Amino acid sequence: MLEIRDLHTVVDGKPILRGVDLEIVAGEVHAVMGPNGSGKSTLAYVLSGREGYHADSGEVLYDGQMLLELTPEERARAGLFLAFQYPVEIPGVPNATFLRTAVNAVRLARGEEELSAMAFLKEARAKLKQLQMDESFLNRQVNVGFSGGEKKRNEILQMAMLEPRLAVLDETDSGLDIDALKIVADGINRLRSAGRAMLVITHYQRLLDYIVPDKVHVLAEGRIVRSGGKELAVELEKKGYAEFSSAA
Amino acid sequence: MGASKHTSDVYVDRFDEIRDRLPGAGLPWLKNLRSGAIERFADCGLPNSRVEEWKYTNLSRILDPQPVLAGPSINGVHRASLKQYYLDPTPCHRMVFVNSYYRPDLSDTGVLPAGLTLCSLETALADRPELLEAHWGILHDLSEDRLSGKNDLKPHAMIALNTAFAAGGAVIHLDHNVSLDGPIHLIYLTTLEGERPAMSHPRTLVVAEAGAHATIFETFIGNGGDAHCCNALTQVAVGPGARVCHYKHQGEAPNGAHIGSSHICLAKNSTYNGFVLSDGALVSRNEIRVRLEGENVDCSLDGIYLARGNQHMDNWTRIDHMAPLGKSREVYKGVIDGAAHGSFQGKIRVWPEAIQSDARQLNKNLLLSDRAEASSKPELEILTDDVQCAHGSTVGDLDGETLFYLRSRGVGETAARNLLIDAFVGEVIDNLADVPVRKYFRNLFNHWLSEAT
Amino acid sequence: MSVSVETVKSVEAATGGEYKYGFYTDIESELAPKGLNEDIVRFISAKKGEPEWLLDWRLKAFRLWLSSAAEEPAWANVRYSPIDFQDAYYYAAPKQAEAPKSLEEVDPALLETYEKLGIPLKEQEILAGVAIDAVFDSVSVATTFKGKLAELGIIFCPISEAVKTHPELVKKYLGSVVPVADNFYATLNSAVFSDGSFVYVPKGVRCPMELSTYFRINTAETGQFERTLIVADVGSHVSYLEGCTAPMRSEHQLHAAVVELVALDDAEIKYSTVQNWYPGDKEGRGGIYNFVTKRGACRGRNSKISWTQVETGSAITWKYPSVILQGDHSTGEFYSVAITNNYQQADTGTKMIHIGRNTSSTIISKGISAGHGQQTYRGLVRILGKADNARNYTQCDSLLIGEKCGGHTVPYIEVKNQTAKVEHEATTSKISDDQLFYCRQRGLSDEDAVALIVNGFCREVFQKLPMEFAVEAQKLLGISLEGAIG
Repeated sequence: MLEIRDLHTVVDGKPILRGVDLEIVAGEVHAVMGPNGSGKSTLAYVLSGREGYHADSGEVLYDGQMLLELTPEERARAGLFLAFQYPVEIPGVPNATFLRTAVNAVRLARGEEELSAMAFLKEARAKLKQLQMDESFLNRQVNVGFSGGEKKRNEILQMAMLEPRLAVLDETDSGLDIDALKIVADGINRLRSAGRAMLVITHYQRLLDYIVPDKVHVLAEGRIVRSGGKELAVELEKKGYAEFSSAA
Repeated sequence: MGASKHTSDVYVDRFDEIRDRLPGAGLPWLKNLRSGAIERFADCGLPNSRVEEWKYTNLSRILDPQPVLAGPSINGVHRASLKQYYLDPTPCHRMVFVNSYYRPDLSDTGVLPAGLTLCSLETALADRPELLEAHWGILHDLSEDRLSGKNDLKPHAMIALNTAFAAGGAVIHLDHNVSLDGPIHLIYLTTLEGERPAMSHPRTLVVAEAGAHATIFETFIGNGGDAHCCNALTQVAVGPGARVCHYKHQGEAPNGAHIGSSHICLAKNSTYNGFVLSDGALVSRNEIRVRLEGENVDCSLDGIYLARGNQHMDNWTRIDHMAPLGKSREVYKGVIDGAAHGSFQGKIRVWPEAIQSDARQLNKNLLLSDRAEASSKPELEILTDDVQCAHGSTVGDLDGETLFYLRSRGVGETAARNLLIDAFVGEVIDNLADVPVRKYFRNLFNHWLSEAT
Repeated sequence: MSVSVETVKSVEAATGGEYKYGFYTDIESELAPKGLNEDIVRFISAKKGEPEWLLDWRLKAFRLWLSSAAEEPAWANVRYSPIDFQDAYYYAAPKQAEAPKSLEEVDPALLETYEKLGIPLKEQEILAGVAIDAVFDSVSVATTFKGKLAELGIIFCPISEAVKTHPELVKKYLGSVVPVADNFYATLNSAVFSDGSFVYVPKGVRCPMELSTYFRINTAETGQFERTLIVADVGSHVSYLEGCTAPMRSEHQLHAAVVELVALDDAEIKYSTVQNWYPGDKEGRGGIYNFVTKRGACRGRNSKISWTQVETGSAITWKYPSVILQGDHSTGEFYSVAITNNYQQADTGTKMIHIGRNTSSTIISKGISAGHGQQTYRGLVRILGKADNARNYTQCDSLLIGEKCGGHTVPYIEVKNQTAKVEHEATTSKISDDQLFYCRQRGLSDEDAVALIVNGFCREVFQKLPMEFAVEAQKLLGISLEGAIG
């Protein structure tokens, strides 16, 4: 589904990604782990098309398409979803409006009917319940005044509503206490399916206790320096990243 | 209109009398500058409240219709009467000016480090006229350019008047990377000229070349209960990467008038920290213009005005962000008691080139009496989109609930009020970087507060 | 209440993103001779069959306007070439044998015009719950629901009619809030005002429906000078809406209206405007000069006046809907959204003059500038010496889209009472890249993302509009920002 080949990225004049190779097939969950500053978030931004994060060389194939040639919204409409490490506040815009606008934009792009207000509300309520979120979430302004945990749950709610094919979860566990982490992980696990791939970016192994990955990659100094099964995460937790930092 | 025209005629006549006796009268450029300035002043007349920039200040209330120009007389000023204004610990360099004229007998300039020029205007005109020519000329064509496309000279009439008449003041020049250990303290005292209240026009120039670092402290005072008028102009040029801390105390005599303008030009990567405290004069106006001309400039501009009785204090500031990445912070706080009037007009303009400017401006006013009056006009003119700008303004009394809380804990009413006023003003004073200066203003404010009725 | 993608799309489809009210109705008009002099003032007065006192009032205003006492204001942040006041028609009216007594008699071409503007005037199709006075160039062509309102004692009619039917009310209140000598354009309006609405709500009556005036400039080279007067008697309540459009023309047209509101004890007036005069084309050619004086007087104790405006049209806007808070415990409000795109300029805001005790005012202003648009918020909050416990809260936010536009904030705060509490806050910024990227990552196009974020930015104000207007306002916002991005 996703194929990253020799991806190089320079941000603010500094090389951050220095030849990343990664392949994910549908149905799999991959974890990318690495120390701070290793380029994990940069990878997420390059995949989603954030301004200032361009590939200087290399390519990314997404379902056979050249991903990097698409605008951010084209990527989103093609089923790529980024759960933000720091979800953005949009004052004055109710969550429901935002979600419905996004869902219908994506549905239209897929050639599906737009959801009516009623149908949308019904679906949103069902997802809210699964994520143990109060219905008042829909009326609140997008992420404004949300606690850290609420913001992360809101990301998962959006993901559940948008039904992406590839979800990139950027440090979704950061800032969550253990209860919130369980709820968020539950939400994510419920979305695991044969047609959907996930790329879980995390510094700590903690999240991977709940979202068990099929593969684990270590990103250090802009490269995938090691790949393995889920046991690699446990090993990293014990030993830390020290050995990778000096490797390059 | 007729009346103000008449007033400006008086100044033109005075100018004709003294033009050949002014220092540097033989310099052609200066001659042109002065005659151009008096012509402009004659065209404009004294600014009145119909000039937007002078909306809140009525000069006719205070200016003598037959002004007496101060001359270089001795006036019996003694060191003892100045001591209370000295910084503690004493600075390396102190210059005292009476009616704008330098008085070496009252000054202690100390040992000047290499790379520092510190002298009177008269000396500088004789020794380094090119320095003055370069900087005085900058203000020559000053006019207010409005967004409606109109240009207006009127707001700058008093600056023109200073340019025409300035006969004394200080000139400070710091060579590249010169850094001073302590503040330079300039004391300007305006007093009687013979029997009559005098008008003085002190002029200060501070030039800090690249990488230099200086603290300049200007004190403006009057003698006893004299009515007098000080029309001061200070220019500060801060070179690339240089840093200037610039403090001013407007503490003129109770019947005096103070019209002060400061023009500050900031080159790239420079830092400017300005602070003004006003507690003197019957009518005062402090005008400060700061231009962030180079990239990545860091500027702060703070002010305190303490007004009581029939005092009128006008604070007028303008900050021009003219290059990318400039940062400015401005906090002005007024405490207004009695039948006094405090006003603040502050404009921030972000020019089209000045992307990623970050400007914040705040004006807060405390009204302590039922006859006190506050006017506030914070203003933003933003001509490009990639900016972060904000301003705020408040006017109000001390918070009743907080007062009650303090009193319910046994604090007397006056003490409780003073505590809250102190908290309001103190946060600005206590954040000043230079210790002697901070102490000076702290003492001043404590004294002001203790005089409250 | 939201703009979803389909709304934006359907609006775009319906309008092609252009000014959709730019058509011209080909109807025979009666014009006064071009230019402005005493004869023209007399001509207008005679056309309206006015009594002597009103003609005198006009002439007094006209003479004042000619004298140097009336000076064209130069302080606003707007630039335009001088207006030739002699090069315009000051009276234009669709030709009709006689004033229509009922809607059946109204020229079908006019009804069709309003139909096209989305303002059906035929009673059976009329918007439920909204009574409309339709003003076409200088005259009112139809007023709906008059009968039903009359049953409650509410007078809602063209001001030219009120002069004849209720002269005592008009005489008492006309010019009492905006005096003849108030400012250059108000003086001009006093001399040549054409038509406008008059509303009187009697004691204790809550007006059961929204009253609305729809202004249309049709004829070329005419100025429109309407005059609106609303009086809410003791304990009454009225909500009034105003809309306006004009054809697309390459020359500028002047609109200099005066609106006066009077609220007596315990009365409340809510005045909403969606101003959509032709803004000119993308290069700044043509468009309306909108120089308007709007002021309300809270004369009575506990009275309330609330202005809500959505300003999307006009080449130049110069207006400051204000409230004079005379009555103790009276309340003034100003909620504004203003958009300037392409070469539009707006200098707009409000004045809140606190005179009575325990008066309070709220100002919420949201300015959006795009293209080469220049916008200024200009406001005055004045607390006079006797206005004990006055309160004001002001929030002004400017959103800038594009590096060529400007957003300016000029508040004046003047306080002469110790017990006052006045608070002003303002911010200026662009739409954050983070917000845009977040929306796009969820599948929204650039333009939809901007419309969504801007709508959120304006939400506080839109919430104050009556429902029908709120929907209209949101659509307008999307259209006004067309082409602002990328």
